Amino acid sequence: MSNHGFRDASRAKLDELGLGDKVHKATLHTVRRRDQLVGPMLDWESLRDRARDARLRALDRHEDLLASFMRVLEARGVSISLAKTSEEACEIIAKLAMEAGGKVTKSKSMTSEEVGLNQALEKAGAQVTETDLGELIVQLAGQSPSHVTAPAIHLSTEDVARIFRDKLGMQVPPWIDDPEPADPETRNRLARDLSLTARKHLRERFLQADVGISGANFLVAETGTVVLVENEGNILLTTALPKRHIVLAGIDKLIETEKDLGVLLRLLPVSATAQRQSCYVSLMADAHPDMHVVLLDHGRSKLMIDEELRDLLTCIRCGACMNVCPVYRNVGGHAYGGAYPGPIGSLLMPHLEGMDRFGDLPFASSLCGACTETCPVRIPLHKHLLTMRARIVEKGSSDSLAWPLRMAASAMRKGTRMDRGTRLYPLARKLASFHPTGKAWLESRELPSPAKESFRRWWHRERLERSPAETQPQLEPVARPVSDPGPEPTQYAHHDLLRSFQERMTELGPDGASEVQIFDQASVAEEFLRIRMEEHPADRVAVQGEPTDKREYALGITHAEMLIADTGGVVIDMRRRVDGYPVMLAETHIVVGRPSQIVPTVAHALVARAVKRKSGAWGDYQIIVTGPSRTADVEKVLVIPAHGPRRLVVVLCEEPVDLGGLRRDRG
Amino acid sequence: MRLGLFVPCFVDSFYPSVGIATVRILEHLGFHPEYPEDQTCCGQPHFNAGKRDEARDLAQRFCDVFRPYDVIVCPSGSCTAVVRCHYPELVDSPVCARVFELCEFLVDRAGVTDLGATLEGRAALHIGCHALREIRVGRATSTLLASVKGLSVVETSSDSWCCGFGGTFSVKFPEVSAAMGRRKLEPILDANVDYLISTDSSCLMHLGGLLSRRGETRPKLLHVAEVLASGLEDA
Repeated sequence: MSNHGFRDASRAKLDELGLGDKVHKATLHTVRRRDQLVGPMLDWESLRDRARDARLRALDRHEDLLASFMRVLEARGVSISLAKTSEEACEIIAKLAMEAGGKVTKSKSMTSEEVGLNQALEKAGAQVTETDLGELIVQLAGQSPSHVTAPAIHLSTEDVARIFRDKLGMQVPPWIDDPEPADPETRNRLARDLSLTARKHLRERFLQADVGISGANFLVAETGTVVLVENEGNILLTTALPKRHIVLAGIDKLIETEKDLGVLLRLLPVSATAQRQSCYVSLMADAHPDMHVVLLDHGRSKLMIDEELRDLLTCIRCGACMNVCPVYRNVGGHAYGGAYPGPIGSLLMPHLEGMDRFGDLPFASSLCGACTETCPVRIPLHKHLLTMRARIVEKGSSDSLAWPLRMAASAMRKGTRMDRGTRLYPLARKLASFHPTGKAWLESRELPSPAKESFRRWWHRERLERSPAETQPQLEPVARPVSDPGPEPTQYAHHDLLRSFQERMTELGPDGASEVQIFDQASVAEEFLRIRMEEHPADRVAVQGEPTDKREYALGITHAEMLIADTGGVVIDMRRRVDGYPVMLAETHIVVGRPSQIVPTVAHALVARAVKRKSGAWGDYQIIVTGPSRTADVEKVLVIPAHGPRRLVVVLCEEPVDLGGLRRDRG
Repeated sequence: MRLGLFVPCFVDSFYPSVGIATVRILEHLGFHPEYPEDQTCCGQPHFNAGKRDEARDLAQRFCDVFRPYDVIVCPSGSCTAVVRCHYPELVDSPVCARVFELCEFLVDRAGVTDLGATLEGRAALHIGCHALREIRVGRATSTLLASVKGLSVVETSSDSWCCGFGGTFSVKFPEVSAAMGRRKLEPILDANVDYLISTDSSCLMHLGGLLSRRGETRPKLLHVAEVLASGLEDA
């Protein structure tokens, strides 16, 4: 067992100037905002229960779900393969990528980090471009992600600027090398410039790529839907622009129903990035002509039959356990040495890669339980760390603590022996620095001074003077406080929902990046749209339903099929990926919907989606858009836009608005 | 009804005043606590180090020693949590459910919210992680402290953070443990308080060890039992 892998790595990270400060600042920022969102969510605890239930049910029914998911995808013409090992997954994907031409754009996928996909692709001769801002940063720096949802959380704005200067030739201000940081506003401006530089750099790559590789947040067995959640728009571009789309996902990503997805989609963004909803949720159930799904096992089926620890596979990779972990906050993700850091990584890595390399991680926790308290799917992480420790000890390990603990256990067999031990403490205290354990304590701390007399001795002396117990006050019956179930879910009136939608939507884009316009008459709404269209040359405007090209547009106009009140999101229904160009390739995206399309939550929208698709009313590709494209990958500073539109305008009118007619009138 | 007193091993050896304060409080309220002298350690260090066999022996021992008592009171959230929340994995005994941390015993079982204690000054409060998240005695502790005359408990940004002790963690990964402690202390030192009060002497041993290494004499570290007993001596 490698006992000192984490200790050495953590020591090095503690010595890295400013690292702990950077990670603290960014994680605490997210934790605070997450807590602000969770506080008023009356059904948060019940959502957690439902999410855990959904994820455990998926494990119970895994064989069925896998078979049904594969059947649906194969019927659609999507190729699907099962990879037992990381090597197998890399081999399959490298072959698929090279066949298609080898120019790869990749959206964030921790599973691909787990299998070492980038290295395998590059070895096969592919050109791999990470397109998530955080991933791009660490790729350019020659590093690995240090957090599952914030890969560059260990880097400051200045660090990233230096990387972009060196690798992308970006002109950066000289103050980035000053010993004193610039004022917050200046630094935020730089963060925005960095994001825009990445946008420009990556746009060409997107347009030229042969292959797009994505992960998956969830795979819905019921409907054969691949679900991807993001903020930047790089996943839309990765999955829609290249002719070939490859999905790499662990077999643990399967869930049973759209209803389950509704629950998980309410928890994930809050837990991951402290947002009510991420900017884009892609729901892909289309017969893509060149789509390949690679499902990875890599130790998962073995973990699935582990009675005690199988719920580790219910993890939704939100990274909340990292944000609240005081160990992680001090040393960052790289100290853990694997793809998954923090509490969940300390549990997963020994299973995926073996105890030999990662057997010290379960011990690298103070067991404070903050992870268990925050985990949206209620994995009892700190209890599992204890279980893992017991297993590792059982397998046989030796460390400098074994002897003191054995001695202590022996001394504790009798009160009198313990008493002798206590009286030896002044001597032991003097000799402490000679034992590694004592030395470890004394490196940074003093040992407590010996007490004049132990409690035991005090009691023994005093007891003789005490009267025997006769009567005692009555105790209250044991009434453990029952957790408050909270008020019943409110039935919202329609106008309340619409008001909530407006508020939530406009708060997503400060400074007019989000806008809602409500019209009574279709003719007025159409006039509004026409004016907006006339601001640009005709060929710079893309309208849903018309043929579009793979290029940039100034304005994209689409219909909405649903409005989601509690997040300010809109559901856009499409048949094929190319139909999404007006959503993803435009500078401004205008969505036209009807106030009556409003539903309370994303869960309602997803249940409706299942029905609409079954009846053929809807197509097989939906995007839930919530605000303008954005990123917070550099120091958690919000920057608009990332890779998608910089403005989102929602036009609402109950009378049907004819998008097809807009162009005719103009011509 | 018999009330047993569970005084964790390191409180017994290093911080006897915490045990004595606990006795004073209970007696002040008319209880007759009994201290079974054959008690030793709950086995938490062994349990947390993964040494389940040694932990099981000590757990069994604990349950045997405390079997005669109807209710068992302990001035440590951490040791209480091990017995109540983790013992069921090791032993099957009705004793586990009868153990209460001092503050939760006082507020939830004895119905006491004001002991009439007095302590002048400003304090930060560190509720140990197991007390805070496993047996959840935060509310009870704050209620009792709010009643202490002259004492004002101030909030700091690190109130809910782990101190970094973590038992064997503190010597297995001493550098991270100490770094966590320093982060924990920063806002507390900034708040310029007279006292740092905790439900757990183990956390205070670690934080105090860091402070005295740095030559800091403020804040003074106090266990919540010592605070609640202050001013009771004359009663």
